[in-house]
Amino acid sequence: MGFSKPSAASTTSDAMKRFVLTEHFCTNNAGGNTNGTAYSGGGDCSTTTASSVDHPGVLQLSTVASSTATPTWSGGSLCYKAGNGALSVDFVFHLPTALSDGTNTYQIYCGFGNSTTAEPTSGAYLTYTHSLNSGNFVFKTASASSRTSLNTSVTAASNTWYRGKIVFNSAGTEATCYLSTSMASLGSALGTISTNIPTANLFGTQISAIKSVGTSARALWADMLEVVKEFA
Amino acid sequence: MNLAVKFYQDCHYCPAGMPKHWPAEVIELGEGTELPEGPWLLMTKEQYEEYRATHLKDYEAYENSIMPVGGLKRALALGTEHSKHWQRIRQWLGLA
Repeated sequence: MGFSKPSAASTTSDAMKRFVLTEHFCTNNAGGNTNGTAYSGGGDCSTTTASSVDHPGVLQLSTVASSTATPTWSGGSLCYKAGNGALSVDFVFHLPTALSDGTNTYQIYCGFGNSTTAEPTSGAYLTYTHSLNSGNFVFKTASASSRTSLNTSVTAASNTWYRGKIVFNSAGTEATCYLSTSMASLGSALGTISTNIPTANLFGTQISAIKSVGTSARALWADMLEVVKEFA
Repeated sequence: MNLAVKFYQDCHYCPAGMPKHWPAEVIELGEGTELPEGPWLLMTKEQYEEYRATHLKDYEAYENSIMPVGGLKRALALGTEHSKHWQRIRQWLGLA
């Protein structure tokens, strides 16, 4: 069988049509296998403690005994914009063994973001702290430091694995959020936001545990993060 | 689409230098018009987008002031050898 000359269309690399970046944290480098960076922020980032048979490769973001630690894993802060094709991030995380409270207060941010120490000013992410939305998760978008919030009915439970997903539609006009305790199924969308979509501001991916009160260690675990961009 | 909009001037966490009139928080109300308790303003999505577009230059000035690259941009734009940033660049290049 001979070879035929490829058509012009078939010479286009798949990487030019679809971008996939998957981080499983299966490494001793807290930054992961991709181009991520771990910022201890006065806490500790480690991949050596929390892996299990169901969750191989886990990054631990611990606040240690600091009341102001900001341990964060950042997959860059200037990588993506919404629009010109669907853009999604799928992620798996585990809440600490103790929830946030008035004695030891922390807030988590997971999803698209651009900060290594605080709440994103550009992106779309899930957040939790006890004083927000009665302790249920909140889905947010952020564009140039303006943020839109959508309260979800998903209660944050301590010592629990969650799978989340955030999808920007192809036009970059809205963001939709999913969150489930099932690793196999995300279920129905929790809601969609159509304001403060970051189409002009760049962002990356971010998983943070930001401590603000108390000196008891709180550890957020991250098992997986995958970004997919389907170019329009 | 109606929105409840809160500005940085009404937020306890306003970063230093942030324009007070820049929108901080938004809640989408759909067709509803009932605002949450507190200093929220009712706007349509179109009004909100127009407001942001009008005041974006104020936010960008703030952003440039806090980003290191803003200082570099200013130094190169001004081209003054007395600029603090220019001096640092010259030192980094071994010219000063």
